[in-house]
Amino acid sequence: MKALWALLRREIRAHQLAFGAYFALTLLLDAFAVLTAPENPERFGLTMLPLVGLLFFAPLLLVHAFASERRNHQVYLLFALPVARWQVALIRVIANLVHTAGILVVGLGGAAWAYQRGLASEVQVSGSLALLLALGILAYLVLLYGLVLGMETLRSVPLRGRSLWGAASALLGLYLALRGAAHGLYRVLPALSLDFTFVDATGRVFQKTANLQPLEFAVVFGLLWGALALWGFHRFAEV
Amino acid sequence: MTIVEVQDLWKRYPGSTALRGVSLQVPRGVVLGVLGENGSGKSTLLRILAGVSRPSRGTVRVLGRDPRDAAVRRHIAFLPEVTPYDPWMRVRGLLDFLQPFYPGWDSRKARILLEALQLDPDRRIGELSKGQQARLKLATAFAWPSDLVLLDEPLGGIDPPSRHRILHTLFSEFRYGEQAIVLSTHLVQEVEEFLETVVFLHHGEVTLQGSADDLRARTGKSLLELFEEVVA
Repeated sequence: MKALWALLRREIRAHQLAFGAYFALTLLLDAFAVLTAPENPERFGLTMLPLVGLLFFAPLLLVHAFASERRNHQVYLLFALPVARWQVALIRVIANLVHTAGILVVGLGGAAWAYQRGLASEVQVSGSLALLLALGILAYLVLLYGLVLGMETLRSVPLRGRSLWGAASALLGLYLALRGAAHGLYRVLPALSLDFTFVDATGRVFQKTANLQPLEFAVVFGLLWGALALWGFHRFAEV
Repeated sequence: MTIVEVQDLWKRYPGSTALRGVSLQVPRGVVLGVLGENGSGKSTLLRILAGVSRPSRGTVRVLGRDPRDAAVRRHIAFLPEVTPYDPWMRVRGLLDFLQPFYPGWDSRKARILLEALQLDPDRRIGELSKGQQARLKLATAFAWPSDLVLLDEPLGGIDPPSRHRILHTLFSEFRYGEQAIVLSTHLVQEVEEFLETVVFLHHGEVTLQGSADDLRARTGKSLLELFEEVVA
Protein backbone atom coordinates (compact mmCIF):
# COMPACT_ATOMS: atom_id res chain seq x y z
CA MET A 1 0.00 0.00 0.00
CA LYS A 2 2.87 2.34 0.83
CA ALA A 3 4.33 1.61 -2.59
CA LEU A 4 1.05 2.44 -4.37
CA TRP A 5 0.72 5.63 -2.38
CA ALA A 6 4.28 6.59 -3.39
CA LEU A 7 3.35 5.87 -6.99
CA LEU A 8 0.22 8.04 -6.79
CA ARG A 9 2.13 10.96 -5.24
CA ARG A 10 4.71 10.68 -7.99
CA GLU A 11 2.02 10.61 -10.68
CA ILE A 12 0.34 13.73 -9.32
CA ARG A 13 3.66 15.53 -9.01
CA ALA A 14 5.04 14.37 -12.35
CA HIS A 15 2.25 15.87 -14.40
CA GLN A 16 1.45 18.93 -12.36
CA LEU A 17 3.09 21.23 -14.89
CA ALA A 18 0.70 20.09 -17.62
CA PHE A 19 -2.11 20.28 -15.10
CA GLY A 20 -1.07 23.85 -14.26
CA ALA A 21 -1.30 24.80 -17.93
CA TYR A 22 -4.80 23.36 -18.26
CA PHE A 23 -5.77 24.89 -14.94
CA ALA A 24 -4.71 28.30 -16.28
CA LEU A 25 -6.70 27.69 -19.45
CA THR A 26 -9.76 26.85 -17.38
CA LEU A 27 -9.35 30.13 -15.51
CA LEU A 28 -9.14 31.94 -18.83
CA LEU A 29 -12.32 30.25 -20.02
CA ASP A 30 -13.98 31.27 -16.77
CA ALA A 31 -12.85 34.85 -17.26
CA PHE A 32 -14.12 34.80 -20.84
CA ALA A 33 -17.49 33.48 -19.69
CA VAL A 34 -17.79 36.08 -16.95
CA LEU A 35 -16.79 38.96 -19.20
CA THR A 36 -19.16 38.05 -22.01
CA ALA A 37 -22.17 36.84 -20.01
CA PRO A 38 -23.47 40.31 -18.90
CA GLU A 39 -23.69 41.36 -22.55
CA ASN A 40 -25.62 38.26 -23.41
CA PRO A 41 -27.67 37.49 -20.31
CA GLU A 42 -29.88 35.09 -22.18
CA ARG A 43 -26.93 33.03 -23.31
CA PHE A 44 -26.54 30.74 -20.41
CA GLY A 45 -24.29 28.48 -22.48
CA LEU A 46 -21.25 30.71 -22.28
CA THR A 47 -20.80 30.08 -18.60
CA MET A 48 -20.65 26.40 -19.39
CA LEU A 49 -17.38 26.97 -21.23
CA PRO A 50 -15.29 25.65 -18.33
CA LEU A 51 -17.16 22.38 -18.60
CA VAL A 52 -16.41 22.26 -22.28
CA GLY A 53 -12.80 22.92 -21.31
CA LEU A 54 -12.92 20.00 -18.93
CA LEU A 55 -14.07 17.71 -21.69
CA PHE A 56 -10.94 18.56 -23.63
CA PHE A 57 -8.44 18.87 -20.81
CA ALA A 58 -9.09 15.56 -19.04
CA PRO A 59 -8.15 13.43 -22.07
CA LEU A 60 -5.26 15.72 -22.97
CA LEU A 61 -3.79 15.32 -19.48
CA LEU A 62 -4.04 11.54 -19.59
CA VAL A 63 -2.66 11.21 -23.11
CA HIS A 64 0.13 13.63 -22.18
CA ALA A 65 1.03 11.50 -19.14
CA PHE A 66 1.38 8.31 -21.19
CA ALA A 67 3.13 9.94 -24.13
CA SER A 68 5.66 12.00 -22.18
CA GLU A 69 6.77 9.06 -20.04
CA ARG A 70 7.28 6.88 -23.06
CA ARG A 71 9.27 9.63 -24.75
CA ASN A 72 11.37 10.42 -21.65
CA HIS A 73 11.92 6.76 -20.69
CA GLN A 74 10.27 6.87 -17.25
CA VAL A 75 8.17 3.99 -18.54
CA TYR A 76 11.24 1.78 -17.98
CA LEU A 77 11.17 2.62 -14.29
CA LEU A 78 7.41 2.16 -13.93
CA PHE A 79 7.39 -1.19 -15.74
CA ALA A 80 10.40 -2.47 -13.77
CA LEU A 81 8.86 -1.62 -10.38
CA PRO A 82 7.41 -4.59 -8.51
CA VAL A 83 3.87 -3.40 -9.11
CA ALA A 84 1.34 -5.00 -11.45
CA ARG A 85 1.02 -3.14 -14.72
CA TRP A 86 -2.73 -2.69 -14.33
CA GLN A 87 -2.03 -0.94 -11.04
CA VAL A 88 0.36 1.46 -12.79
CA ALA A 89 -2.35 2.32 -15.34
CA LEU A 90 -5.12 2.57 -12.75
CA ILE A 91 -3.06 4.85 -10.51
CA ARG A 92 -2.43 7.07 -13.51
CA VAL A 93 -6.17 7.31 -14.07
CA ILE A 94 -6.74 8.13 -10.39
CA ALA A 95 -4.06 10.85 -10.54
CA ASN A 96 -5.79 12.20 -13.63
CA LEU A 97 -9.10 12.20 -11.75
CA VAL A 98 -7.49 14.25 -8.98
CA HIS A 99 -6.26 16.79 -11.51
CA THR A 100 -9.56 16.77 -13.38
CA ALA A 101 -11.45 17.36 -10.13
CA GLY A 102 -9.31 20.47 -9.65
CA ILE A 103 -10.24 21.75 -13.08
CA LEU A 104 -13.90 20.93 -12.49
CA VAL A 105 -13.98 22.74 -9.17
CA VAL A 106 -12.41 25.83 -10.72
CA GLY A 107 -14.69 25.70 -13.75
CA LEU A 108 -17.94 25.20 -11.87
CA GLY A 109 -16.83 27.40 -8.98
CA GLY A 110 -16.12 30.22 -11.40
CA ALA A 111 -19.54 29.86 -12.98
CA ALA A 112 -21.25 29.77 -9.57
CA TRP A 113 -19.32 32.85 -8.50
CA ALA A 114 -20.40 34.64 -11.67
CA TYR A 115 -24.06 33.86 -11.00
CA GLN A 116 -23.78 34.91 -7.39
CA ARG A 117 -22.25 38.26 -8.31
CA GLY A 118 -24.93 38.82 -10.89
CA LEU A 119 -22.39 38.75 -13.67
CA ALA A 120 -24.30 36.05 -15.48
CA SER A 121 -27.95 35.30 -15.93
CA GLU A 122 -29.76 33.69 -13.07
CA VAL A 123 -30.48 30.09 -13.59
CA GLN A 124 -32.65 27.82 -11.55
CA VAL A 125 -31.16 24.45 -11.75
CA SER A 126 -33.41 21.68 -10.58
CA GLY A 127 -32.03 18.71 -8.72
CA SER A 128 -32.66 16.43 -11.65
CA LEU A 129 -30.71 18.70 -14.01
CA ALA A 130 -27.76 18.68 -11.62
CA LEU A 131 -28.00 14.91 -11.43
CA LEU A 132 -28.14 14.67 -15.19
CA LEU A 133 -25.10 16.91 -15.46
CA ALA A 134 -23.18 14.84 -12.92
CA LEU A 135 -24.14 11.64 -14.69
CA GLY A 136 -23.07 13.14 -18.00
CA ILE A 137 -19.65 14.08 -16.62
CA LEU A 138 -19.24 10.65 -15.05
CA ALA A 139 -20.24 8.89 -18.26
CA TYR A 140 -17.88 11.04 -20.26
CA LEU A 141 -14.94 10.40 -17.96
CA VAL A 142 -15.56 6.64 -17.78
CA LEU A 143 -15.82 6.43 -21.56
CA LEU A 144 -12.79 8.61 -22.00
CA TYR A 145 -10.54 6.70 -19.62
CA GLY A 146 -11.53 3.47 -21.32
CA LEU A 147 -10.71 4.84 -24.75
CA VAL A 148 -7.37 6.37 -23.75
CA LEU A 149 -6.30 3.18 -21.98
CA GLY A 150 -7.30 1.20 -25.05
CA MET A 151 -5.24 3.44 -27.32
CA GLU A 152 -2.24 3.24 -24.98
CA THR A 153 -2.50 -0.54 -24.86
CA LEU A 154 -2.44 -0.74 -28.64
CA ARG A 155 0.51 1.63 -28.75
CA SER A 156 2.44 -0.43 -26.18
CA VAL A 157 2.22 -3.65 -28.12
CA PRO A 158 4.65 -4.25 -30.98
CA LEU A 159 1.96 -5.27 -33.45
CA ARG A 160 3.12 -7.51 -36.21
CA GLY A 161 3.17 -5.38 -39.33
CA ARG A 162 1.73 -2.52 -37.25
CA SER A 163 -1.09 -2.17 -39.70
CA LEU A 164 -3.16 0.89 -39.02
CA TRP A 165 -6.07 -0.62 -40.90
CA GLY A 166 -5.79 -3.81 -38.90
CA ALA A 167 -5.85 -1.90 -35.63
CA ALA A 168 -8.73 0.28 -36.85
CA SER A 169 -10.72 -2.79 -37.89
CA ALA A 170 -10.09 -4.44 -34.55
CA LEU A 171 -11.20 -1.29 -32.74
CA LEU A 172 -14.34 -1.01 -34.84
CA GLY A 173 -15.17 -4.66 -34.29
CA LEU A 174 -14.65 -4.29 -30.58
CA TYR A 175 -16.72 -1.14 -30.50
CA LEU A 176 -19.64 -2.83 -32.26
CA ALA A 177 -19.39 -5.88 -30.01
CA LEU A 178 -19.39 -3.76 -26.87
CA ARG A 179 -22.16 -1.59 -28.23
CA GLY A 180 -24.24 -4.68 -28.83
CA ALA A 181 -23.47 -5.90 -25.33
CA ALA A 182 -24.38 -2.54 -23.84
CA HIS A 183 -27.68 -2.40 -25.73
CA GLY A 184 -28.45 -5.93 -24.64
CA LEU A 185 -27.77 -4.93 -21.07
CA TYR A 186 -29.91 -1.84 -21.45
CA ARG A 187 -32.85 -3.90 -22.61
CA VAL A 188 -32.82 -6.05 -19.51
CA LEU A 189 -32.63 -3.02 -17.23
CA PRO A 190 -35.85 -1.15 -16.42
CA ALA A 191 -36.19 1.93 -18.61
CA LEU A 192 -35.08 5.03 -16.78
CA SER A 193 -35.95 8.60 -17.41
CA LEU A 194 -35.32 11.87 -15.62
CA ASP A 195 -37.38 14.99 -15.78
CA PHE A 196 -35.70 18.32 -15.41
CA THR A 197 -36.78 21.90 -15.52
CA PHE A 198 -34.66 24.78 -16.65
CA VAL A 199 -35.63 28.43 -16.31
CA ASP A 200 -33.52 30.90 -18.22
CA ALA A 201 -32.92 34.58 -17.43
CA THR A 202 -35.96 35.76 -19.38
CA GLY A 203 -38.24 33.51 -17.40
CA ARG A 204 -38.79 30.95 -20.09
CA VAL A 205 -39.31 27.51 -18.67
CA PHE A 206 -37.98 24.45 -20.37
CA GLN A 207 -39.17 21.06 -19.35
CA LYS A 208 -37.64 17.97 -20.65
CA THR A 209 -37.82 14.32 -20.02
CA ALA A 210 -34.32 13.03 -20.27
CA ASN A 211 -33.83 9.61 -21.61
CA LEU A 212 -30.77 8.24 -19.93
CA GLN A 213 -30.06 5.61 -22.52
CA PRO A 214 -27.05 7.40 -24.06
CA LEU A 215 -25.53 7.99 -20.63
CA GLU A 216 -26.06 4.43 -19.57
CA PHE A 217 -24.61 3.25 -22.80
CA ALA A 218 -21.56 5.48 -22.35
CA VAL A 219 -20.98 4.23 -18.80
CA VAL A 220 -21.42 0.56 -19.69
CA PHE A 221 -19.35 0.88 -22.85
CA GLY A 222 -16.64 2.84 -21.03
CA LEU A 223 -16.48 0.38 -18.15
CA LEU A 224 -16.30 -2.63 -20.44
CA TRP A 225 -13.77 -0.98 -22.68
CA GLY A 226 -11.76 0.26 -19.70
CA ALA A 227 -11.66 -3.17 -18.07
CA LEU A 228 -10.62 -4.77 -21.34
CA ALA A 229 -7.99 -2.10 -21.96
CA LEU A 230 -6.64 -2.45 -18.44
CA TRP A 231 -6.36 -6.20 -18.87
CA GLY A 232 -4.70 -5.73 -22.26
CA PHE A 233 -2.28 -3.19 -20.83
CA HIS A 234 -1.42 -5.51 -17.97
CA ARG A 235 -1.00 -8.52 -20.23
CA PHE A 236 0.62 -7.08 -23.34
CA ALA A 237 2.14 -3.63 -22.74
CA GLU A 238 5.91 -3.55 -22.89
CA VAL A 239 8.80 -1.19 -23.33
CA MET B 1 20.84 -22.52 -7.36
CA THR B 2 19.95 -21.13 -10.78
CA ILE B 3 18.68 -17.55 -10.68
CA VAL B 4 18.04 -17.12 -14.40
CA GLU B 5 17.05 -19.78 -16.87
CA VAL B 6 16.40 -18.93 -20.51
CA GLN B 7 15.44 -21.47 -23.14
CA ASP B 8 15.04 -20.93 -26.88
CA LEU B 9 14.21 -17.26 -26.47
CA TRP B 10 13.02 -15.38 -29.53
CA LYS B 11 12.00 -11.76 -29.76
CA ARG B 12 10.47 -10.40 -32.92
CA TYR B 13 9.57 -6.81 -33.63
CA PRO B 14 7.65 -5.65 -36.67
CA GLY B 15 10.16 -6.02 -39.46
CA SER B 16 13.06 -7.40 -37.42
CA THR B 17 14.12 -10.19 -35.10
CA ALA B 18 16.14 -9.11 -32.07
CA LEU B 19 16.78 -12.49 -30.45
CA ARG B 20 17.03 -15.90 -32.15
CA GLY B 21 16.84 -18.94 -29.94
CA VAL B 22 18.92 -17.68 -27.02
CA SER B 23 19.45 -20.15 -24.16
CA LEU B 24 21.48 -19.48 -21.03
CA GLN B 25 21.64 -20.00 -17.29
CA VAL B 26 22.89 -17.74 -14.52
CA PRO B 27 23.67 -19.44 -11.21
CA ARG B 28 23.53 -17.52 -7.92
CA GLY B 29 26.58 -15.41 -7.17
CA VAL B 30 27.90 -15.32 -10.75
CA VAL B 31 28.75 -12.29 -12.88
CA LEU B 32 27.65 -12.93 -16.46
CA GLY B 33 28.78 -10.64 -19.26
CA VAL B 34 26.51 -10.30 -22.30
CA LEU B 35 28.87 -9.02 -24.96
CA GLY B 36 28.00 -7.89 -28.44
CA GLU B 37 28.09 -4.97 -30.82
CA ASN B 38 25.32 -2.36 -31.07
CA GLY B 39 22.07 -3.95 -32.19
CA SER B 40 23.09 -7.48 -31.27
CA GLY B 41 20.12 -7.92 -28.91
CA LYS B 42 21.79 -7.29 -25.55
CA SER B 43 19.33 -4.68 -24.34
CA THR B 44 16.35 -6.70 -25.56
CA LEU B 45 17.60 -9.71 -23.61
CA LEU B 46 17.99 -7.70 -20.42
CA ARG B 47 14.58 -6.06 -20.84
CA ILE B 48 12.99 -9.49 -21.10
CA LEU B 49 14.91 -10.73 -18.06
CA ALA B 50 13.69 -7.65 -16.17
CA GLY B 51 10.08 -8.40 -17.11
CA VAL B 52 9.50 -5.12 -18.94
CA SER B 53 9.30 -6.82 -22.36
CA ARG B 54 7.68 -10.07 -23.45
CA PRO B 55 9.33 -12.90 -25.32
CA SER B 56 7.84 -13.80 -28.69
CA ARG B 57 8.75 -17.44 -28.12
CA GLY B 58 10.64 -19.49 -25.55
CA THR B 59 10.70 -19.48 -21.78
CA VAL B 60 12.33 -17.13 -19.31
CA ARG B 61 12.44 -17.90 -15.62
CA VAL B 62 13.90 -15.78 -12.85
CA LEU B 63 13.93 -17.54 -9.49
CA GLY B 64 11.78 -20.17 -11.17
CA ARG B 65 9.02 -17.76 -12.18
CA ASP B 66 8.02 -15.47 -15.02
CA PRO B 67 9.73 -12.10 -14.47
CA ARG B 68 6.57 -10.34 -15.68
CA ASP B 69 5.08 -11.34 -12.34
CA ALA B 70 5.35 -8.28 -10.08
CA ALA B 71 6.35 -10.41 -7.09
CA VAL B 72 9.45 -11.62 -8.98
CA ARG B 73 10.47 -8.09 -9.89
CA ARG B 74 10.81 -7.41 -6.16
CA HIS B 75 14.02 -9.44 -6.44
CA ILE B 76 15.41 -7.78 -9.59
CA ALA B 77 17.41 -4.57 -9.82
CA PHE B 78 17.24 -3.41 -13.43
CA LEU B 79 19.29 -0.59 -14.87
CA PRO B 80 18.23 0.21 -18.43
CA GLU B 81 20.62 1.89 -20.82
CA VAL B 82 18.55 5.08 -20.70
CA THR B 83 17.98 7.19 -17.59
CA PRO B 84 14.44 6.34 -16.45
CA TYR B 85 14.13 8.89 -13.67
CA ASP B 86 12.08 12.07 -13.47
CA PRO B 87 14.35 15.07 -14.06
CA TRP B 88 12.43 17.15 -11.51
CA MET B 89 13.20 14.72 -8.69
CA ARG B 90 16.11 15.31 -6.38
CA VAL B 91 18.57 12.48 -5.87
CA ARG B 92 17.38 12.07 -2.29
CA GLY B 93 13.75 12.13 -3.45
CA LEU B 94 14.41 9.30 -5.89
CA LEU B 95 15.83 7.11 -3.13
CA ASP B 96 12.82 7.94 -0.93
CA PHE B 97 10.50 7.06 -3.82
CA LEU B 98 12.13 3.69 -4.47
CA GLN B 99 12.41 2.61 -0.83
CA PRO B 100 8.82 1.34 -0.28
CA PHE B 101 8.99 -0.87 -3.37
CA TYR B 102 11.92 -3.02 -2.35
CA PRO B 103 12.14 -5.06 0.86
CA GLY B 104 15.42 -4.64 2.61
CA TRP B 105 16.17 -1.25 1.05
CA ASP B 106 19.07 0.09 3.10
CA SER B 107 18.84 3.88 3.39
CA ARG B 108 22.16 4.09 5.21
CA LYS B 109 23.90 2.11 2.51
CA ALA B 110 22.24 4.26 -0.15
CA ARG B 111 23.71 7.38 1.46
CA ILE B 112 27.15 5.78 1.61
CA LEU B 113 26.83 4.77 -2.04
CA LEU B 114 26.01 8.35 -3.00
CA GLU B 115 29.15 9.51 -1.22
CA ALA B 116 31.29 6.81 -2.81
CA LEU B 117 29.96 7.74 -6.24
CA GLN B 118 30.34 11.47 -5.53
CA LEU B 119 26.69 12.36 -5.92
CA ASP B 120 25.02 15.30 -4.18
CA PRO B 121 21.67 14.12 -2.72
CA ASP B 122 20.16 17.59 -2.97
CA ARG B 123 20.66 18.05 -6.70
CA ARG B 124 17.86 17.54 -9.18
CA ILE B 125 18.35 14.59 -11.51
CA GLY B 126 17.83 16.80 -14.55
CA GLU B 127 20.84 18.88 -13.46
CA LEU B 128 23.18 15.88 -13.35
CA SER B 129 25.54 15.13 -16.19
CA LYS B 130 25.14 11.93 -18.17
CA GLY B 131 27.97 10.33 -16.23
CA GLN B 132 26.46 11.34 -12.89
CA GLN B 133 23.10 9.93 -13.95
CA ALA B 134 24.85 6.66 -14.80
CA ARG B 135 26.41 6.64 -11.32
CA LEU B 136 23.01 7.32 -9.77
CA LYS B 137 21.53 4.33 -11.59
CA LEU B 138 24.33 2.17 -10.17
CA ALA B 139 23.69 3.53 -6.67
CA THR B 140 20.01 2.57 -6.83
CA ALA B 141 20.91 -0.95 -8.01
CA PHE B 142 23.22 -1.71 -5.10
CA ALA B 143 21.24 -0.07 -2.30
CA TRP B 144 19.18 -3.16 -1.57
CA PRO B 145 19.76 -6.92 -1.46
CA SER B 146 18.25 -8.02 -4.78
CA ASP B 147 18.88 -11.54 -6.04
CA LEU B 148 19.58 -10.41 -9.58
CA VAL B 149 21.19 -7.21 -10.84
CA LEU B 150 20.73 -6.42 -14.53
CA LEU B 151 23.08 -3.73 -15.81
CA ASP B 152 22.53 -2.60 -19.40
CA GLU B 153 25.57 -0.66 -20.61
CA PRO B 154 26.24 0.63 -17.07
CA LEU B 155 29.41 2.48 -18.04
CA GLY B 156 27.85 4.63 -20.76
CA GLY B 157 28.57 8.29 -20.03
CA ILE B 158 31.10 7.58 -17.30
CA ASP B 159 34.57 8.90 -18.08
CA PRO B 160 37.05 6.13 -19.03
CA PRO B 161 39.47 6.63 -16.11
CA SER B 162 36.63 6.21 -13.57
CA ARG B 163 34.95 3.19 -15.14
CA HIS B 164 37.22 0.52 -13.70
CA ARG B 165 37.38 2.15 -10.27
CA ILE B 166 33.59 2.44 -10.00
CA LEU B 167 32.94 -1.15 -11.02
CA HIS B 168 35.67 -2.37 -8.70
CA THR B 169 34.24 -0.40 -5.76
CA LEU B 170 30.69 -1.58 -6.40
CA PHE B 171 31.55 -5.24 -6.94
CA SER B 172 34.01 -5.51 -4.07
CA GLU B 173 32.46 -3.25 -1.43
CA PHE B 174 28.76 -2.91 -2.12
CA ARG B 175 27.65 -6.14 -3.74
CA TYR B 176 25.48 -8.30 -1.53
CA GLY B 177 27.14 -11.70 -1.15
CA GLU B 178 25.29 -14.04 -3.47
CA GLN B 179 23.81 -11.58 -5.94
CA ALA B 180 23.87 -12.73 -9.55
CA ILE B 181 24.87 -9.94 -11.92
CA VAL B 182 24.15 -9.79 -15.64
CA LEU B 183 26.09 -7.02 -17.33
CA SER B 184 25.67 -6.15 -20.98
CA THR B 185 28.24 -4.01 -22.73
CA HIS B 186 30.40 -3.54 -25.77
CA LEU B 187 33.18 -2.01 -23.61
CA VAL B 188 34.80 -5.41 -23.13
CA GLN B 189 38.20 -4.19 -22.01
CA GLU B 190 36.78 -2.28 -19.04
CA VAL B 191 34.73 -5.18 -17.68
CA GLU B 192 36.82 -8.21 -18.66
CA GLU B 193 38.35 -8.82 -15.25
CA PHE B 194 34.96 -8.79 -13.48
CA LEU B 195 33.26 -11.38 -15.69
CA GLU B 196 33.05 -15.00 -14.61
CA THR B 197 30.92 -16.28 -17.48
CA VAL B 198 30.23 -14.68 -20.85
CA VAL B 199 27.73 -14.87 -23.67
CA PHE B 200 28.64 -13.39 -27.04
CA LEU B 201 25.64 -12.18 -29.04
CA HIS B 202 25.75 -11.46 -32.75
CA HIS B 203 22.60 -10.48 -34.67
CA GLY B 204 20.51 -11.92 -31.85
CA GLU B 205 22.22 -15.31 -31.79
CA VAL B 206 24.57 -16.74 -29.18
CA THR B 207 27.85 -17.35 -30.99
CA LEU B 208 29.99 -18.28 -28.00
CA GLN B 209 29.34 -18.84 -24.32
CA GLY B 210 30.98 -20.34 -21.28
CA SER B 211 33.25 -19.63 -18.35
CA ALA B 212 35.56 -16.68 -19.05
CA ASP B 213 38.61 -18.61 -17.79
CA ASP B 214 37.74 -21.68 -19.90
CA LEU B 215 37.29 -19.59 -23.03
CA ARG B 216 40.63 -17.85 -22.49
CA ALA B 217 42.41 -21.16 -21.81
CA ARG B 218 40.74 -22.95 -24.72
CA THR B 219 41.35 -20.27 -27.33
CA GLY B 220 44.47 -18.60 -25.95
CA LYS B 221 42.79 -15.24 -26.51
CA SER B 222 41.44 -12.49 -24.28
CA LEU B 223 37.72 -11.72 -24.19
CA LEU B 224 38.41 -8.53 -26.12
CA GLU B 225 40.09 -10.49 -28.91
CA LEU B 226 37.22 -12.98 -28.97
CA PHE B 227 34.77 -10.09 -29.08
CA GLU B 228 36.57 -8.56 -32.06
CA GLU B 229 36.44 -11.91 -33.83
CA VAL B 230 32.73 -12.27 -33.22
CA VAL B 231 32.00 -8.77 -34.47
CA ALA B 232 34.21 -9.24 -37.51
